[in-house]
Amino acid sequence: MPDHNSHPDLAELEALRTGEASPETARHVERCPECRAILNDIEALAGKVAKADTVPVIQIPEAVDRRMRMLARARAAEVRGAIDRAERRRRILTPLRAIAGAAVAAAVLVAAGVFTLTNTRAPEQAPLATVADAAPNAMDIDASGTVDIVDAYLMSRRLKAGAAQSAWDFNDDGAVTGSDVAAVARRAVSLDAPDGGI
Amino acid sequence: MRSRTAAALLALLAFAAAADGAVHFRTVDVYMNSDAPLAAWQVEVRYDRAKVKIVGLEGGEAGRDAAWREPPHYDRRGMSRGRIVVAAFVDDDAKATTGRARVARLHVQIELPEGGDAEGVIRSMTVRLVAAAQAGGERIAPKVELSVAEVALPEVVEPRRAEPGPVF
Repeated sequence: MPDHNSHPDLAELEALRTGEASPETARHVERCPECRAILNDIEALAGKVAKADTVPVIQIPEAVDRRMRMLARARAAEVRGAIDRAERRRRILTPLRAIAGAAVAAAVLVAAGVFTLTNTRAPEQAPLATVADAAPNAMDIDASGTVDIVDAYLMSRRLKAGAAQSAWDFNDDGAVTGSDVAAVARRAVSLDAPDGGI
Repeated sequence: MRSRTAAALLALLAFAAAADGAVHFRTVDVYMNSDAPLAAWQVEVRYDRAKVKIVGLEGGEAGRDAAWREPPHYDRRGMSRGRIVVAAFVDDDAKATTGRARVARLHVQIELPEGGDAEGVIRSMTVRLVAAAQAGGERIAPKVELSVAEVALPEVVEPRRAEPGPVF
């Protein structure tokens, strides 16, 4: 869960652009000028790609490029520190510096692998999983036995016609709105279900 | 901070992967062909997760009034799991489309050993109709197909090394 001191990564910002980010991410970006600037760059880039008949070589926005460099340098500094510490220990433990160097390199590779595994958000923890857990039967608007995009479409039509039902408040915000329709659509495409849907 | 450094590390790994083999990018379109006015559709796309990642997903026909211009709904986890479910519906029945229409576009990254057959990997992708409805809500079964788009991103084989840029 991002706070002001822990900025969302680029994937989360892209999710925000496409309306799939968590409310926490949205709140963070609202009050974080740095993240808003990057989000604006991503939106501009997406706009260019969507409009282009032929896709040109894409220029990475400066703000995104700057952040990537900053993150990479910070990570490189961490790795260098780890290497320095490991080397000092190895020098004490053994006079065979060549062997020690190889061992440090191996240790860094393993650490990097573990770091990647433990710091990449597990798909099962994605916000979509929460939506997928919400009252699937109530989302089956046409009682077909499956929640699919047709249910979202029908719900949208009925909402526009003023025929919404209180049972459709899937996000428990006290009102039936487009957000609830979006919840049905997310349920429809969720990988938690065998066919999308339930 | 941890997730940001993880992103940087993943970028490093991507550079390393590009150096070992060839990374190809292709644009794959999803087409629907419906006799009735198509108002909602849902498909399942399957691909070889060992070689393919979906790196972008956008709407179909361009243009301000196009029915499928907005990005469709999908589960982000499907971008790398070998199976993704994609769906969209119109917010106004007047926008429902008849005939053949491009409803979505997938940008895929194919990572292969040098000399690998990227086109063969693309041809192995499959699409299956899950659900569709015509304007009004009656369920229909339009034809669905995948098509490699004419436009394609440039081939990326080697990461940029000579140009000034990020220093890792």
